[in-house]
Amino acid sequence: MRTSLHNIRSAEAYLKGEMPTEEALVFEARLLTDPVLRMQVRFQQKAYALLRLLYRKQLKQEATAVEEQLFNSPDKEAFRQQISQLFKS
Amino acid sequence: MEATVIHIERPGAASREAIFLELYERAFPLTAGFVSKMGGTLEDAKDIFQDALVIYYEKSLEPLFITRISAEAYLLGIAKHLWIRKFKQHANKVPLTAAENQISIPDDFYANVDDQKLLHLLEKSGKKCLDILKVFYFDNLSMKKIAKVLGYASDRSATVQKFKCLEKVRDTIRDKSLGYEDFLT
Repeated sequence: MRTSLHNIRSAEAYLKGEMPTEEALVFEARLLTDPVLRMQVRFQQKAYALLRLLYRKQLKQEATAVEEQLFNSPDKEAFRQQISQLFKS
Repeated sequence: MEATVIHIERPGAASREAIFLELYERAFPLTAGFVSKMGGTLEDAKDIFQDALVIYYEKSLEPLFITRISAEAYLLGIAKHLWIRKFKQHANKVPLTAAENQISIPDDFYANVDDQKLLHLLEKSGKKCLDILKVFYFDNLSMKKIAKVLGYASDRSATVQKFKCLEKVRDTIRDKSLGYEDFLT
C-alpha cells in the first residue's frame, strides 16, 4: 500500500479508537508535528460525517418508498382507514 | 405494552424494506395519533415519522442498543422529540415519560447548508466510490461478504479500493472547503 493510503488507514484506526495505545501515542505525536497530516485527518473526519448524512439520505428514500406502498397499495386499505380516522376534524 | 424488539441481524436494502414496512404498520398509527392531537396534519406525521424511522434504525444497529420499551413506543418517543424541535415548542407542552426523556436525537441529524452543498458536490463527483464506502461503513457486512458484493477478488483488494475511495472523497472535501476557517484552526 502506498504511503498516502497507509496514512489514511492509520488515521481511520486512530479516529475509530481501534489503534493500540502505544501506536496511538506515536500517531498523536505525528499529528502535533505534521500540519499536513493534521489537516488530512480533519478532512477525513469530515468525510465520515458526510458519508453518514449520505447514508441517512438513502435510508430516508427507502422509507419514502415504503410509505408510498402503504398509502397506495390496494391491500392496505384498512391501514389507510385507520390513519384517516385520526385526521378527521 | 409488551416490549418487542425487532432484531436487525443482517441489514441490507432488501431486508430493510421488510423491516421498514413492519415498523410503519405497527408504529405509524401511534405517531400519527400524537401529531393529530398536537394539531398537525397527516403530512406532518409522515415527515416526522420518516425521520424517526431513520433515527430508530440507526440506533437499533448500535452494538449496545438495549431498550425496555417497544419499537412503537420508542418511535413515538423520537417523534415527540422531533416535534418539539420542529415547532420549537416548550417541552412542557409535550409531556414526556421517563423512558422518552432518555431518548436523544443525533446532534448531526439535520445537515447544515454547507454540509448539504458539500454532499451535493460529492454526489456529482462520482457515485461509485460513495456507494462502495456506504457498503463498507454502514451495511455491517464481513470483509469477505463486502469483497464478494463489490466484486473484488480478495479482502485485500477490496480494502485498498476502500481507502482509495476515502482518499478521493477526503480530497474533494478539501478542495471544496478551502477558505472555510474552521478547518484552518
